[in-house]
Amino acid sequence: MGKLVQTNQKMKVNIQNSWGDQIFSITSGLVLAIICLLTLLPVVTVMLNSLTPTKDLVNNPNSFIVIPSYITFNHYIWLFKGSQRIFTAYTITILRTLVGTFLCLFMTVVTAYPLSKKYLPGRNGIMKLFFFTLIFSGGMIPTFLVVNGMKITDTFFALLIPCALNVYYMIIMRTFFASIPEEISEAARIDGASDVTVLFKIILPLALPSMAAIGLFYAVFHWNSFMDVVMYINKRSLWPLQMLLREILVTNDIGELSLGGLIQDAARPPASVITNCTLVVSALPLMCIYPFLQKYFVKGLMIGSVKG
Amino acid sequence: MNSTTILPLNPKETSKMEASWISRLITALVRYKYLYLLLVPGILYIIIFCYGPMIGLVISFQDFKITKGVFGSKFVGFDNFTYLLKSPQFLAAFRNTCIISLYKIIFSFPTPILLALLINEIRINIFKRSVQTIIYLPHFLSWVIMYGLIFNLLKDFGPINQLVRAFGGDTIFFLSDVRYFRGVVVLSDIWKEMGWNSIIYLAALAGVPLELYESAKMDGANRVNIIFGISLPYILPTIIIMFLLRIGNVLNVGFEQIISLYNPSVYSVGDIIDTYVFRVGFIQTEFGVSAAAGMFKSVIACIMVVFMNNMMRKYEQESLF
Repeated sequence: MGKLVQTNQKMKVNIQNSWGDQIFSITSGLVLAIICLLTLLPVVTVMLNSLTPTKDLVNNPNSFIVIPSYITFNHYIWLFKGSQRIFTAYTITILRTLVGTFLCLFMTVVTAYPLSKKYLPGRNGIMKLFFFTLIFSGGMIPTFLVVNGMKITDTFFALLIPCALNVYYMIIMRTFFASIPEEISEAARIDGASDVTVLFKIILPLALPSMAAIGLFYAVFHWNSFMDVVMYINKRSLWPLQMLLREILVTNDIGELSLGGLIQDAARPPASVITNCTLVVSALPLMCIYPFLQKYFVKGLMIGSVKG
Repeated sequence: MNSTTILPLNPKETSKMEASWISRLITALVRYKYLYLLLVPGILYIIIFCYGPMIGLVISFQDFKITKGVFGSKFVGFDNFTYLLKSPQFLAAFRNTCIISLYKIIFSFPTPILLALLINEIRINIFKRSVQTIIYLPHFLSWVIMYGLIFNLLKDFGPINQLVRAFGGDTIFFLSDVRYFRGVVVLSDIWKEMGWNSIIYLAALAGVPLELYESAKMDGANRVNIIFGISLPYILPTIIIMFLLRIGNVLNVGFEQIISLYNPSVYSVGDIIDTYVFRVGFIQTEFGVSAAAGMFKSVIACIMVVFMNNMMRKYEQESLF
């Protein structure tokens, strides 16, 4: 309560908190704490489960949360040592996220920049062309036929090219570019710089916070995406992590991991633990990154909410 | 930005104003060649991957065979559409789409607003920031991971069923029971996205002028009065705009969510248009029928979005005065 009184003093309002208000603060705090607990609980239990020694799990086959007698990373070692598939899948996911995010950001920037120039002849017509794609789409099957017709199914490009640009994010970026004073680029142009130089040397450094937000959105999309893999990729060696995980979960069989010789190990952990380990390794990287980018994506969403 | 500031003003330019549009086009292309060049990849992209599929919708009027291609397949008029309207599966999928969407609008739409109002009441900054970080977390998990987490929660020896049994109930198979499946869909949607969706309302709440709160306090208003008297009315325009956007997307009920969570035993309540399109297209390879179902959805969605955008424009104009 001390803090509450303090902030009120900061606001220079000299009114005592009534009892009702204090009870209200406490309840709202409690409700939020419970919401946070409920949000975290499923994640934490899965993590805890993956760190529990096999012995504990085998002894309590029917309890959901086993308080581990000690914490062990053995299951992860087991997973990464035993399975070639998980390495391949991880590599594909990381490669896709890096290359895909870079490609998407590049496409977004080069499209958004010219469209942010109000003086560019034909800009409105081109904008309409982009807006229309937001309200009408050909749908799944015709898109598949286009991708199939380009002969990129079952190649790594199928994970990059069909999603190379998100028109909605492009419009957010365009709104941001339009808010940068024209004088800045004009000064550079008078010095003889071309529009391309101006964009990459002067405008982009100013746009870094927005790029961080939109880059995160794209990275999350690429890391988590699996439907395009279902549709475009049959070759299992090209499967990213999410797809491998989906197969394990749907078939409820860790055979998909091709654990090789270790499958015959006497101390083989239960399949559910290996599934949980795969869950954790697929979720952990993004879970570790997003808190540091929080202030950027909040801003990114706010730019988006301003009508462009 | 005034266009004259960037055009070099030289007397020759004015004569070009009268020139034909072709020469004006050429002048523009030459003067802004780099800007147009930058636009090429983006325009190529939407032509191929957005407009290409729209043209590809002609296959919904065909008995499409992938071996024969778009030009070789036979046109069958509206046969695919009449087939759909007679197909019980499609009609069930359409009905489910509307019902799940309605549930989501009733239950998942207001939660982020309430959440934002609650968070806004927290005065201890570190607590506020931690709460926000935690509730954004599920947004960053894919639906595949979400399915893994939900399965762990709801399996027969999961915590929920342990609780159910502790209270004397029978084990409930939430993911394969038609009575519970939609509930699971709506609740998991709330869990995943409520934090993320509250960001926009929190941003709006941050804009409430402090003087408003102060004068209300002076007048003796308590916290509840302030929430309903000041905070809520202040973010009402944001709520209305978000609501109209949501209604415009009424047929998007979460394809990745449903396809991750559902299984054949709950098709009757969980199958939506998107999953129907996917199944008929990719598993039964009835491309024509599938494309027709997709087009059915796209056309309705397009009408809804345009209608809601007009409502929004009207609302924005009215709210200016």
